[in-house]
Amino acid sequence: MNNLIELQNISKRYGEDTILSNLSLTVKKGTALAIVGDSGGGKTTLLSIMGLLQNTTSGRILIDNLDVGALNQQEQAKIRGKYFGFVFQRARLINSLTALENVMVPAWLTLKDKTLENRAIGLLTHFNMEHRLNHKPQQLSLGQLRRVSLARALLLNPPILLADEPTNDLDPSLATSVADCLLQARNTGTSVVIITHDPALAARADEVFNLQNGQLYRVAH
Amino acid sequence: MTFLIWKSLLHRKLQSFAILFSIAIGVAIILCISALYNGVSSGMEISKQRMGADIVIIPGGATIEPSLVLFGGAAANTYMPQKTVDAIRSIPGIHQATPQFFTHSLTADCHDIGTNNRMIGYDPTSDWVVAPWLKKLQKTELKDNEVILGAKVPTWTQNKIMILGTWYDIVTVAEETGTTLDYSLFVSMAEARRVVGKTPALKSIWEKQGPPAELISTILVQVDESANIMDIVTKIQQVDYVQTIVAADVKKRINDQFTVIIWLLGGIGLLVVFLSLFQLFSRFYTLTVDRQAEWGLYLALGASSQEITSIIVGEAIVIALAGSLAGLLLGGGLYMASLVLLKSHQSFPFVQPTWYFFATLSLTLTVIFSGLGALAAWLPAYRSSRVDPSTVMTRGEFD
Repeated sequence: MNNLIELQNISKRYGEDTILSNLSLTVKKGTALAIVGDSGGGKTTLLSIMGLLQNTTSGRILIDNLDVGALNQQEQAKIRGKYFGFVFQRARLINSLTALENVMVPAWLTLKDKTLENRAIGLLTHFNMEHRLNHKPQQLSLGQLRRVSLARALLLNPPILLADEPTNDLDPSLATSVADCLLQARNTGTSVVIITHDPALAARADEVFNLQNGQLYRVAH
Repeated sequence: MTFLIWKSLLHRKLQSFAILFSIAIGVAIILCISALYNGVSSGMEISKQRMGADIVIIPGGATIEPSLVLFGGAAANTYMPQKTVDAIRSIPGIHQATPQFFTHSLTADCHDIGTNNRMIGYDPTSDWVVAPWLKKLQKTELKDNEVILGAKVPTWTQNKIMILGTWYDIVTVAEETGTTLDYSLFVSMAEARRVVGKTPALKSIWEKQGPPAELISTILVQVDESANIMDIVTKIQQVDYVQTIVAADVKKRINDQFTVIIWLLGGIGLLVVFLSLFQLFSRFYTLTVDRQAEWGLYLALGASSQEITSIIVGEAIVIALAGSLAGLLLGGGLYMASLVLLKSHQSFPFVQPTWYFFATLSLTLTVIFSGLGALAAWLPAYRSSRVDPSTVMTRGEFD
């Protein structure tokens, strides 16, 4: 299997606080990886470093064998658009846009393509949101916001899906549906990295890591 | 990108319209002031070149306002003797003088062209006012049935006009001068005297002041370049019971009045412009904080920092452009209303600015305001485009 993401000896410090310490991790193509750990332990920081949203203090990041540390902001933005789909801890939708338009944003920004609308509608329909396509975020519930956010992340069939607690705020059946959708992405070769406190979701991943004291420990399951 | 800009503006309708409106007011005031200033300046310049009289002499009993004599169309039926012209010509320092005879052109029939148009009989032997127009037409003088119309005299027929019951052939319509000439109809002095002499409505005037053939209404005077104009005015007043209007004084007074108005309104306009630009700047500057997570999201989803800059500057340009266009329409209305208001209080030389002037001014204002709008948003845009994309993970909810 190809390595899609390689983190080599990554450290992240905020002043005196060390969040990640000399941490290494490999994410292979088409696999799902879950990261668990205590709140405030640095899981979101790790995810944002993986997604090139934040710089490391030291260490190397390879995306599809490309050392992204050498790239400028512009080039990193292109890599983000090309490789990543994000599901943030909070839904993060643009309030001026409808649910459908929010899902379309990655297509507008990276492909300048409006023809993916049918796929966007299909994704929202899959998440039982077909009756909320033209609703603004302020008219949606937390669970609905999260489903729109997930549809947005899946729109471009990204090679890597980074999901930060994706089943938060969802009822059990919907949480299962969202987890199914995320994990099914593996079938098309997408690698999935999930941060979660939900043991059931973590158990469905191919590999599980526990982030403790800035270090990753593999969890047997 | 355009879609995102449009959606963002609509989402913040009140804020967007408030800035748009203040820009529109600024543009409207500047357009109005510029057009008025251009009209008055051109009027002043052309009246100086075209009228060519340093002093205008009118009968002592005339109660007409000096600025109305020079720049308006009202005629007073007060006269002075023809012989006054010769006495004036004999004053040292006077280069040349030409008499004119005028009356109002009101008639009782349906072709009435109104009371504010003056029929002027000119003296072909000494005139320099009508002569340039005749020269263009390759004529030396007007026949008895011919008339030259000032630029602002209304007509209902193409080639003919009725004045005090007589039909005249229109030889030409003179170009706009910004002076009383624009409201005047020119005929030969002999014809003017003949036509008013047989008008029953004016009979009482001739009984009181003498036969029209021996009367004149005004004398236009040009002085020698080296002459002291005030000395000449004193000497003119000793000749007969007359009033003198020094053209330069009247023009200076009007110029001074307009300078005050233009500075005052122009200052207000600039202040409004400054405020609206400051508003634009502060709006987009606060965006760098308020919408950081939104920019972070765009960056996370693959937008480049240039694209973030484009979105922010694009929003500013759209508002500034829409404000400028609304301001141009508003300014057109404001200009016309101001002109009517000013003219109802004061006669002044005014030449309507050309369409070319308005087109150039409109384009310039649109470009300047859109440019300034873009500039006002540039610093905030620069800062926003450099937010850490990870703010999307760490910031609170965003609007």
